[in-house]
Amino acid sequence: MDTEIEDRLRRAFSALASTVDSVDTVDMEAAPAARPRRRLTPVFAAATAVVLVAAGVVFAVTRPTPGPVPVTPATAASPSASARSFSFDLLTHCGVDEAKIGGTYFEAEHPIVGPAVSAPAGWDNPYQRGTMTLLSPDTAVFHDDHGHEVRFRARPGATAFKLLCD
Amino acid sequence: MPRPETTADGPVADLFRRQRPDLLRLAVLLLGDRAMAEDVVQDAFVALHRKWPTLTDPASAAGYLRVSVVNGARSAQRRRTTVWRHLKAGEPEALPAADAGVLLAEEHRTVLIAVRRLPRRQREVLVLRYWAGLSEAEIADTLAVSRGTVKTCASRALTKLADLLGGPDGH
Repeated sequence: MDTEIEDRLRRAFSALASTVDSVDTVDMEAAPAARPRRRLTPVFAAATAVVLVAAGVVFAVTRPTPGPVPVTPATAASPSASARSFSFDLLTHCGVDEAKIGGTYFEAEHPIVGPAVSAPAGWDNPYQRGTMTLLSPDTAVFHDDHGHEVRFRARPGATAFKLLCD
Repeated sequence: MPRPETTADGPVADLFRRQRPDLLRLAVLLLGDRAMAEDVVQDAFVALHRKWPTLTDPASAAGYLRVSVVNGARSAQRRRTTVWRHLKAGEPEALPAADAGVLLAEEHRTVLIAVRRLPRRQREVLVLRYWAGLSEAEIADTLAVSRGTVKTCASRALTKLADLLGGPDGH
């Protein structure tokens, strides 16, 4: 059984990890581009370009629609036309309640929270890997291999998570 | 044992898509610096790409990447420390990063700053154990140390943390 220190550690690590923008996955799939490097040699640059371009090619043919996930408000988006799916690590450590997608904060329509604001039973902790599908710029649905389905809606104007458990 | 494909582009690209988010989080936890973490992860994938033709077991690629990130984080940390030493200034608290701080509760900041004060290997053991969820054997493989060393590091780190955070168990 975890001691209190171990539990605090897990929560602190999860909180810091959650600040690593989950949109990375989406950006990478859409159009990976090498960031300017401080010390990249030409050989490394070439190899990196091969990796990144290859990643782009793979996703260009596997994704329903190429291009970055739209996260800015838009109007008249047909769900079927705009739906985009991507691999997503959903933070569950404090319950299934919030997600940051492409810089936009979403909240679950029906949050699922375990005992004492923890991960609910049957969910991986601290993250549940699955697929997030953007149905429109302000609605999304998460699925995983366990059969979970959680619908999310955007919180307009939000600049931070509502709650980071502590 | 299956041989890896002779061209690395497809499999490495697939690994890049699946592994990069977790590896980036791992690097951020080890370094507390997003930009440095991205460099470290990028270097790990470049190294894997170059090594791929001689990789005997494709299933080992994930472990190879994890080791690369840990080693890369150590090197980056050494470079950062050297820079600060030459500037004759104390290295600032590296955790949490400025942008992360906006999102972190005070409790988490306190814990992470305490973790930052631990010796490097103890920090690595804690991150691999309590965030990555690795077993003692996996941590030992990743850090190239014995399981006994992992146990000792973890025990000492938790004791030190409890002391830093106050009280017998951190309170």
